[in-house]
Amino acid sequence: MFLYMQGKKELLSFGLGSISILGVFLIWYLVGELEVVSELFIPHPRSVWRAFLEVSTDGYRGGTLLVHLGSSLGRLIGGYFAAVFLGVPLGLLIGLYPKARILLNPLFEFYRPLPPLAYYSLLILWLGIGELSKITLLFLAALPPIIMNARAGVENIPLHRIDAARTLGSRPRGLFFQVIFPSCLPFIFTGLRVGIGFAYTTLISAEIVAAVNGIGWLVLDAGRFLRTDILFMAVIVMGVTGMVLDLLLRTLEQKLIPWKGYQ
Amino acid sequence: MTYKTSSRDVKVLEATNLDIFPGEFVSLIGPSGCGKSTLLRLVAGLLPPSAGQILWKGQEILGPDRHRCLSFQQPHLFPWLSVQKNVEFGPKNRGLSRKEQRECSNYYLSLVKLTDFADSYPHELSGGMQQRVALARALANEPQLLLLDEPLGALDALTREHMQDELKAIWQRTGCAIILVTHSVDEAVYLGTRILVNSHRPARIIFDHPGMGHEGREAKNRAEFLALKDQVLSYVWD
Ligand SMILES: Nc1ncnc2c1ncn2[C@@H]1O[C@H](COP(=O)(O)OP(=O)(O)O)[C@@H](O)[C@H]1O
Ligand SMILES: [Mg+2]
Repeated sequence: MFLYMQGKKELLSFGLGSISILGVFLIWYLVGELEVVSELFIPHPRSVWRAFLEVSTDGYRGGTLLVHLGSSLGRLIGGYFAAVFLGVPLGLLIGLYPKARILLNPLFEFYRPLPPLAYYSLLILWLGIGELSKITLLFLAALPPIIMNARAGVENIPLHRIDAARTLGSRPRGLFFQVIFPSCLPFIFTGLRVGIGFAYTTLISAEIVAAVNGIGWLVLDAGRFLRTDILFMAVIVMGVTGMVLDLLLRTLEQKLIPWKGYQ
Repeated sequence: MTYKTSSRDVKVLEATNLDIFPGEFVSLIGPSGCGKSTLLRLVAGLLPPSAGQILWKGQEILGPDRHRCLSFQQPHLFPWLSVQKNVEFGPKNRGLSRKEQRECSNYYLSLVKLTDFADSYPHELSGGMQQRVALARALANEPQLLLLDEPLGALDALTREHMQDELKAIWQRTGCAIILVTHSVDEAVYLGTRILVNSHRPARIIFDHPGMGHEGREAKNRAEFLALKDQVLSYVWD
């Protein structure tokens, strides 16, 4: 019953959400039809659709849309997974051991607020203009929220839950996998979602600074050659891809921790 | 027992001599903040005493032990485990085989009448049901001493009456000793074979008297039950 109602509520919010998208599209379409603005500034939806077909099949400057998107996502996944595999254990460690916190916090607090593009030039200098500097950049961009949330997960474990496990015979060693790690999962997942958002935003900027392919580069290059139709199309593809990534993580979250929010 | 905090020391429990015997059902009642939960945590071995000793069968208590199981006012179930797996948590830690774990959880789930909810998750249950799972989870450890910290405090009055009888039946069936902290004089007198009343902080025991724990529900209407309740109340209010 409860699940059914939740499904209905989701359907409703989806319906309402579509209205705003549809509204914007309608205005865009009207502007195109009435030719109030030059195609150079706001291309007709039809032109954008044609650009989509053109870039999908014939490609743009050496790669189809799928190739550009693929090379972007490849970088994203590389940097992001490295950040997850390092960040989650590191965050848990900092949360569990005050000594690790004292040791690592100053360094972390210095690097955390730095905008990734600030040290990007340095990375390029060290690692070259190729993939490695980009992947490292994305790794560094995704890392802070993942660490911080894993740490918050440890700090927010209800103490009585630990006590309950101890009176039920958990040994200090078993406690981590039996209670501490699962208790942190809701926070860890928040970190994973924020982290991929950070990495994705940074990815686009990275490609705008130095790249020869990728969806971010496509936007920049299309802009430079006044192909507004392609620019529009690429921005839309970028937005949709970002939404899909978040949706994937949210679905995974609901599958793995349906109890989120319950204490 | 004294808690040391950054601002001040809080003396919670006055030096107390207290013996609990096997099979006893002890009701502990007293003003809130007097240190009842602290006492249970000390006995459970979750907290070392700042002074003095607590002996379990002649040995000093140094840490938690499955024979002294504590269940809290909130159920504190593990939300990522099904009801059945929650109950099997203790048996698993004890090293029972899969089959023995299952038998054990089935038995205690039937005892708290939740067999049908074995595959549900805690967030799908009502507060009363969660509390019963917590009770089954503690019982599945087959403790010799069960420490219950206001386990019925968060329940509505009807469920509470019902749970009192279940608790009594469970105690009679398992034969374990129980220390039950409660705010209800009625509950203390009805369930306890022994009633203890604590003073304000630092707590001392100011009343120690046999209760009606061996009697059935009809005892609640007898004159001596009401008289005992009045007597306990006068000490609680002192
Ligand atoms: N970890 C702690 N540190 C400091 N003081 C505490 C701590 N736990 C409990 N206290 C204090 O000890 C007193 C008794 O607490 P508690 O045993 O929970 O009382 P009760 O269960 O009887 O209501 C309270 O005044 C409380 O503020
Ligand atoms: Mg208490």
